[in-house]
Amino acid sequence: MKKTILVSAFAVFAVFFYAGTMDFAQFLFNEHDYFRTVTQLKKAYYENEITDTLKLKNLLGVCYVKMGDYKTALFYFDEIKDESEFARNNYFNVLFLMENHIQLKEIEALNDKQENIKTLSLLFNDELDRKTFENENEEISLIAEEYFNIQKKNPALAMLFSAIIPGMGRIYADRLGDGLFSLSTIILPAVATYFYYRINNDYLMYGAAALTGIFYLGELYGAFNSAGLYFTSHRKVYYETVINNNYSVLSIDYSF
Amino acid sequence: MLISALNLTALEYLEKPFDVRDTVNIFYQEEYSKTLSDNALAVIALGAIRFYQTAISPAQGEVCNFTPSCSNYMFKSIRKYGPIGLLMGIDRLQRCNFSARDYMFLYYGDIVLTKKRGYKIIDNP
Repeated sequence: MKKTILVSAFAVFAVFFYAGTMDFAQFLFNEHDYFRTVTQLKKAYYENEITDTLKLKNLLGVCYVKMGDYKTALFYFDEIKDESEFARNNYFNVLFLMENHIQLKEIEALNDKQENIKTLSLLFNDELDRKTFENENEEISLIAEEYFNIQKKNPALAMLFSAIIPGMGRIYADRLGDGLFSLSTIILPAVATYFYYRINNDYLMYGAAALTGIFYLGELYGAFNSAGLYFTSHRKVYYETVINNNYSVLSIDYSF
Repeated sequence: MLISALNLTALEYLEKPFDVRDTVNIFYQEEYSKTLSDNALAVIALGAIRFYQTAISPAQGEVCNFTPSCSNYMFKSIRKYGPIGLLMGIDRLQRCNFSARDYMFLYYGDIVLTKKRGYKIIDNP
């Protein structure tokens, strides 16, 4: 008897405190379990607990953004971008996260946030200079200032340095270890060439000289490449820093 | 004949990652033109690399910081880009040094865990 009463009471309480699928989805979202959130959101839709498809698609898009699947997120935001402002903001945001600067350039911005994202996109596409950021808001100008502090290395100059002193070009491109090692790869066969020249061993002398020449050409190519890579790799690192720094310009809009 | 012999030996001696299920898709599904390898000079260079891989490299074991290894990288790049590929291979040899792992996350994208030598930097031509 006691057991029956207890079970009934528990059932009554369970019904009283019943949380819907949407509540569970929100709980999972707050716990950063986005994969299961997507499942619960779809379940809520099929149970007719959520009828607002605009909200649903936006939430699904946000979940996919959080999971890093920008392509699927873009699919959802693309469907609703003309229906609401926040969806359009998110659409812009995902395009920026995907580094799709060409598409961002073509699409029309309707509010300040979208305009700011477009400005950032142009900045990371290397199309703006310092002067354009004088009248921008504080956050954008801060990001821009850091961006313009990234140095650019001239590949031709790096090649010239390497031509004069092997390894110098790589050191100029901020790769000290590579520079020193490639210097040694050229000096050793060069010394060997001189040694074989002194002992009149022609075959080995030509072999060592050929090796020196090939390594010298490789060094020139490497210096050119390293200097070219310097800016792009630092820009990539800074881009990731900006994305992960929770700037309000790049915040994603959603509500449960 | 020489080319087909090289191709046959290539399959056997290419560096295999230890976890085939996960990493085979990354490295061994590349398709590129093999027309450049018809060049006589390229065949000599590729033959020399294959000789190194079969006769010399096994003596020192798996020591490269990168994957694919420097010799495989040069082999691939010569087939892909011809004479420029040779320079790319030399550049790679010069980059494969004590400081390679310092530049791992800045200049190279990803790493992969291997059985014998811990993690390696993924750098394809």
